Amino acid sequence: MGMDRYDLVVIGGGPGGYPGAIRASQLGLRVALVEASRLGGECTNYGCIPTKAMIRPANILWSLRSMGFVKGNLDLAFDEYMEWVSSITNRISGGVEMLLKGYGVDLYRGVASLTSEGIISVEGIGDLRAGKILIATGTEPSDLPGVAVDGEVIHNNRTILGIRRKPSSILIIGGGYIGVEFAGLFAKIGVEVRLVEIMPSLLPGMDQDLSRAAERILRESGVKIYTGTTVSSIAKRQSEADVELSNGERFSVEKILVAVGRKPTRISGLDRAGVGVDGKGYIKVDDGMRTSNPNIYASGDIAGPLLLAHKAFMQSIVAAENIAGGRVKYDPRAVPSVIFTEPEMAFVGMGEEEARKHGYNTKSVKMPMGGIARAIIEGSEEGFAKVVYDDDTKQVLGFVIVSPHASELISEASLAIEMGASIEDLALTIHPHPTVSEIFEEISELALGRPKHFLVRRRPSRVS
Amino acid sequence: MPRIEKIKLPDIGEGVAEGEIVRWLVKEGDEVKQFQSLVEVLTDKATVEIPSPYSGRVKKLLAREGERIRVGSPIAEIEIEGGEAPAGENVEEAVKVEEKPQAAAQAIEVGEKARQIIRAPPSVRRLAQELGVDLSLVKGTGPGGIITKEDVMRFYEENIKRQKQEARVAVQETVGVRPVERIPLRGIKRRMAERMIEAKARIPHVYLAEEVDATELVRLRENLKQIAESKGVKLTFLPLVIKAVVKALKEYPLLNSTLDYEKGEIIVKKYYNIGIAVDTEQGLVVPNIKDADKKGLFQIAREIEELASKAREGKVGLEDIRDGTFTITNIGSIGSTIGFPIINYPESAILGIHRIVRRPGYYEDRLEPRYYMNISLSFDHRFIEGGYASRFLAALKRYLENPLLFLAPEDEFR
Repeated sequence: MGMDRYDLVVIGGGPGGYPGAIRASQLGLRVALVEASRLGGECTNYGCIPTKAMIRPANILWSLRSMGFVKGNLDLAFDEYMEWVSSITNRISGGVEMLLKGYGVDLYRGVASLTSEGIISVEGIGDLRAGKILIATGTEPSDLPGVAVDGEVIHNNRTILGIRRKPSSILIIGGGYIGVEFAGLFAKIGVEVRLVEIMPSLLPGMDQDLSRAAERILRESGVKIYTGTTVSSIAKRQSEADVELSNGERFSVEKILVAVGRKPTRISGLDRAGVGVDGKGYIKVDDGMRTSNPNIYASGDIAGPLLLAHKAFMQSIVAAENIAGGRVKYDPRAVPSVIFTEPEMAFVGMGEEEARKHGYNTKSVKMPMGGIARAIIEGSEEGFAKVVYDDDTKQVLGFVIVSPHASELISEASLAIEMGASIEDLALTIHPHPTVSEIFEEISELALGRPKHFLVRRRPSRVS
Repeated sequence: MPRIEKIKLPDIGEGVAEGEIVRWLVKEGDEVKQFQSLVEVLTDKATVEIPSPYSGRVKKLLAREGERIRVGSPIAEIEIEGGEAPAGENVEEAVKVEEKPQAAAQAIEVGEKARQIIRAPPSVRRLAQELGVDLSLVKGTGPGGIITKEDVMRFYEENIKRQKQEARVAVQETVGVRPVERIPLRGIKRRMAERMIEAKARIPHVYLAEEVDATELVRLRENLKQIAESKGVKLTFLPLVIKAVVKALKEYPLLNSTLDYEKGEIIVKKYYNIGIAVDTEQGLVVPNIKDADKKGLFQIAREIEELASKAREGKVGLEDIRDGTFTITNIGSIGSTIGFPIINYPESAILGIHRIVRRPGYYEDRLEPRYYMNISLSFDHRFIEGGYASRFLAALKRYLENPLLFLAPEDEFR
């Protein structure tokens, strides 16, 4: 193959890569994309998409069963269920390919490396010449020392999707959002779930209200939670393993899922190309997604946390527009995070601590979902919402929500933060009734001291 | 707790060991953002803008404009408030830093500044990025002080446009459909664009042209060429033109001056630094011959050779391009019959010279082969009348046609 010359070569076909390839092509550049595995990346093939596909039937099954008045035997045909999940990922991955081809992006399948300035070598294919390069190689599951993923008994988030028989029991190591989502869904389809987290609470690093909510939600669906605990030993026996925890507890499980975090997927040649990386191996970028080599950009997971597909989308677009000669920045005020438990959990913007550090006259108000009629109908009145705002300007700074459809609702908070809206704006915006979205109106009214559907009892003032 | 960081001249590119500070884009005491351009540095390859690695306040500039600095030497000191995470540092690490015990005291300091977090929706922020508007300087008129697109546009019109005195060319974006190549406008080319826009925006140009009988000039050069060569000098017509121009400028000094419009003053220069426009691969460069009135023909010829080769190698220093008073450009070397150059602002006029052609002409009633050259003049009509400029051009024509008049010592022929 002769050397093809492209204006832009994108390395990686996940959320950090393909949107930029499409945008650059829309802007008139000649673009190629190199993907070593499946288009759509971790998100489409092993993350966001298949897990959400798994969660939906699990939640339906669970809620029908828990209603009590739906009679008869409900069961899951596990292999058909997993086939359906993979048909979803195939469809979405295929959609990415269709889009890229439709936009005239040339696809190359193979492992890419940077060989010399402006040259990308694709294993098994040859060299591509690139004016600019966008690196979007993402992250991969981290290993737990001494616990080797075998794809049989011990799995990571990728291999677990290959199982076709429902396990009777599973041990999940790691109580971050991946571990929490898998724990909830396996419990709901009738698997005995143990969840081990080394830190004192689940979802370490997140809002403590969320950690507590996660523990409560998982316990209700039957998950055994071990926080502040580690796995002392694992002894594999044919199709199961004997496990001992640091608290001395011993048990046997059929499957083990390692979900202890993620690490950057690096390609070779970064050093030579003068692309700077940080201590953890993430590529350093500025807010225009430029690396320390002016012709190389990076976006998505490989450009460092947050490790979120929607962050990657935006960065990829920013990179592409700058590559095409624009001068734009990745400067979001609000990057939402969602944990797909049931009810769902979502948060965006600043927490109280962070807002205070930024010098805001920080106030926060928390409100249970019990006052929202629709939340009761949906069976999740145990949820809550919390708004963080500046008491001088009433500007919304952050939002936490645990409720049905929280993943959809959070975007109202994101928009409020991005637009600089105040809680007064939220209180004066009419929300349809009955919906869970009324929580935005209610909690803002509560913050302003005048909620409609929540009783605030005035304590008589006392002279001391 | 502020800390001081020294900014060093970074490794600019392959093989570049030093650079010349062309122009500081910030001054001491200025607030700068990370990646904001601090200084323009001219290397032997191009002009490079050096971005700030930190956000903070410019404490001290350690290099003067015009100074040559080695890569790795400090050029400025920046005072940084608190511990800001450098680019690419991940959030987890940043959170850890904040959890250190002394964070509380620091947080208040940081807070006062961050407090002014700008209230502007994403579309407005994007517009500001594209226009290069610093939102912290824009007053919001939207609800609750939110900055609107109109606020950004107003700020842009009133400040950036006026400040730079630069009419921005609205470039029609060819989005998507047609194949284009995007060539970044950098270094000398960028400066050329800025200077052309500035000159055309500020100066109402008027153009004159004249035909010169260059027969005597050609003859004179033929005679002098031998002598020049024996001294190792290649004599072109340009040194002769420069001598004639200086002579004419002395008689018409407004063409060797600058209009300070804001002050309402004409600055008439009593020195003659004659610029010569040199077309290089990196772009247009105009070095000048200093004190051309005090130099001999051969010396001027030698200096032209030096400057031209320096320009082509991209080695022209700030000293060479600074303080010009009048510019000459050789338009006809490739083939145009007549062209009208843009004035090298803040000068007041520029002379275009063209190819010398041999054709029949009348001399003392005889038709004979003669040499002719077109010359053109662009001048600043804000303060130079057409008659004045015409008389300058006529005088110049007279000198060029009778070279003895400008080669002879001053006063001799008055």
